[in-house]
Amino acid sequence: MRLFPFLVLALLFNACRSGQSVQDKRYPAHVGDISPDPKQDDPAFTVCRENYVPQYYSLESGYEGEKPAIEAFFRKNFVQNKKHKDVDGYITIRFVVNCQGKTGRFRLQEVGPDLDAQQFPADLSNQLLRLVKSLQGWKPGMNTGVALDYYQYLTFKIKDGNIAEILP
Amino acid sequence: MKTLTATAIALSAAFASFAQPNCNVFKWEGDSARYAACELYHVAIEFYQGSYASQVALDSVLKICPTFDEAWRTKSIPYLKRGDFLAWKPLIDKAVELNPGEHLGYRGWCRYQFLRDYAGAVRDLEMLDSLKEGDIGYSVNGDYHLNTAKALCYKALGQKTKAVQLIENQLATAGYSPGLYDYLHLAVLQLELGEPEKALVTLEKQEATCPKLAENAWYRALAFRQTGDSVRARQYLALAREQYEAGHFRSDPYDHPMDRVYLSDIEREMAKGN
Repeated sequence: MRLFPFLVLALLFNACRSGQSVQDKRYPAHVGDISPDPKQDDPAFTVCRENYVPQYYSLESGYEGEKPAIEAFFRKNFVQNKKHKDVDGYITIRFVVNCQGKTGRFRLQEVGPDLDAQQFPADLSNQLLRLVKSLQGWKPGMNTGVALDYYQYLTFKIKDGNIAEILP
Repeated sequence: MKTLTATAIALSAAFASFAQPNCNVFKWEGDSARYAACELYHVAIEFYQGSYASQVALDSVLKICPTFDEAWRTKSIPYLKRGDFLAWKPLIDKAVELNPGEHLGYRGWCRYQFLRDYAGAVRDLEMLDSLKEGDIGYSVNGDYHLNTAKALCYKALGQKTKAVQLIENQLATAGYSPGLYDYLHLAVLQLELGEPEKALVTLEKQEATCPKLAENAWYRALAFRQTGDSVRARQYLALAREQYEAGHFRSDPYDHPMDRVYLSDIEREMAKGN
């Protein structure tokens, strides 16, 4: 019985060494990976290293002026639609910040207050997506002096159709 | 310094976020499926968190033993950290369903840390309180006792007096060593309740627990400003900026902790002069 985990380990190592060709479709190489999609992505956006895009929390990353600058941007530019007074939940927009601080590959997820799938009014989601795309202060990821691409996300906690908080 | 610490925390958290189960317990109990799952689980957590190999290995654990709650929780973590809350929720719910005593505190903490779902966090932590005899434990990052976390949620829900009571009760609990930021949050609450003198006393205790923290100097400055002592307010603002620029401020690899200060806050306050 004790050999069993090691047999599985050997099989997994073999799968990893063989690369994407034997990888099944259950999971991407890493949870959260965003594949480029010519139908929705800006073709001008590129990353420095397609095979190594870490998460924002595993390197030095951030925004010019830190979180208050992002909050101030949305306070200034987000327009609440009074028709959405009963709309609550979370809208998360994930994207890639490349090694030059440019952003692309935006993907949006909408969930209700208890994290079940929920469709928000299109004008609300579209406005947030447009504003996130227009943020210009992202810094390239840094690790031991090397500039890197990274995955970042912004989650908007929506209360009564307005932005209650911006996370993380 | 800040970056090094954050990276170290992130890496260590990526590989081993929780106390791992002792497989021999299941062997002694004669539960061979759970024992095999446990052995494989220890293999699975050696893979990089959220990698294909990790997720597939965890699926193998769950195939052998679908009630292995640790595997459900471990599988959920990368979705949470990467903002895929839709995928995170059913996985962590399954872990909680299988072993509420072990995972309710974690889910409650995550609702607070990653989603600022204060009401949801309080629900989980209150439920944990009702299930567990004795101590309900700490946040997964070790920064907070869960009663302090609950207090922060009540504060955000507008119940500041209740939040003060919760933190004070926790601090008065026999055998409890103050958490790194308990006094800081208590002092901020006192400031918000218009009690700057109390806040200054509390911040002295914070200084003893965690010296060299920009937030400590920042809130002292605000307290002195509230008391009308603009000279000392300016001194502490200068100190806050110095400590901030030296990297001594609240940080967390995953989020922006409550009551943290930013350089722009300090500079804006300094620009006001008196």
